[in-house]
Amino acid sequence: MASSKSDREPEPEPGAPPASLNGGQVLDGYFLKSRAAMLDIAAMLDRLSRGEQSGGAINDDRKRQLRAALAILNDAEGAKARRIQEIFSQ
Amino acid sequence: MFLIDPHVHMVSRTTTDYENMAMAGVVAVSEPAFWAGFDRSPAAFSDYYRQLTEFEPTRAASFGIRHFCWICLNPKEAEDLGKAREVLSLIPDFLSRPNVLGVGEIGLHKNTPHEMEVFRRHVQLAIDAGAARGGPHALILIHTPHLADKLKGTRLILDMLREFGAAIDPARVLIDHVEEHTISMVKDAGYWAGMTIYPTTKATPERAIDMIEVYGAEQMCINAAADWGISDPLWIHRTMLEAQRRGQNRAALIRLFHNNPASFFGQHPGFSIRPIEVVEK
Ligand SMILES: [Zn+2]
Repeated sequence: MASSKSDREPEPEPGAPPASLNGGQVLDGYFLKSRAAMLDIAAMLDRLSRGEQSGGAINDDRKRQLRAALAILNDAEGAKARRIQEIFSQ
Repeated sequence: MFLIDPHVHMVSRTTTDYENMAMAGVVAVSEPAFWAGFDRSPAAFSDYYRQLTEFEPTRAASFGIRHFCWICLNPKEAEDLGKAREVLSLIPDFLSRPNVLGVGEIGLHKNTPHEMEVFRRHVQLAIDAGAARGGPHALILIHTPHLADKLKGTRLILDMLREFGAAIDPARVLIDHVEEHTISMVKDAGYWAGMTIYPTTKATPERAIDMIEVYGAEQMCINAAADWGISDPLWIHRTMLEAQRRGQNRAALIRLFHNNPASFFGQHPGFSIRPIEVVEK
């Protein structure tokens, strides 16, 4: 099966310098924090859908922003932080 | 607001923590025996158990806080079966001390066969201690593993408890550090469940209150498992604040943060703090 775009490893933004830490060091230092941040996002989305059962929010534009940001987290492009900022700040 | 801290390692906290906790309404703490950050010799355990049963109650009392504890060999030091045998032989004597609520925090760390063996021996100790008094088994407090080992470890713990059949009463066992993927199996089997608010590796105040909303407050306790790591006993209070922000009233807060622990621990005759009632006039 051909790999879809999101299966590929994201490329760094052209011209971005290598990080001061190598890949393994980045995971050592930040894996657990990212894991916790993902659980926070997941729990917030669960809370949101439970909240919508009590009313409100269904077509709120902030939901579209969150969905667009989540797609960027999982795409094959670099500069994720800048691109997510651009979703939340036009 | 009055609270009972159901899981805190005061031996590694300062006296200022006791003072802050007292000012924040903590009336009692329950301190499970745990890992000191390095592996100890069997002789060190006897001193540690004395610290938990003699020294900490005095330190707590000067702030009006009642101190209770749990005795065991923690799972992180259970790999050496020879040492485990020696340490476990010390436990029965300490179980009868006045501030000892039961056996804990036992459990699994890396889910190894030796850890499982030592877990079963602790459960048997709790059963034997009860039989010696002609009553039900001693209360049991269980640590479930961290992170990647949690799901499998929690299942193994439930399987091992099941092996003891009717000798184990789920209402006398609290299984701690449950999270979104383990809370149902613990509650469905009738055990008490503990949720731990601890940075990065465990739950957050928001996620804990989500779980209370979804699974209910019945047989649930919330703790911060504050220890020698980056942690804070007052994370319990942050969680209370989160519940308050979501509209939980004072009676609900007292139930979750005071009365639930009082009900579970109150099954031990030495734990004399009774649930309190909020009456709005
Ligand atoms: Zn602990």
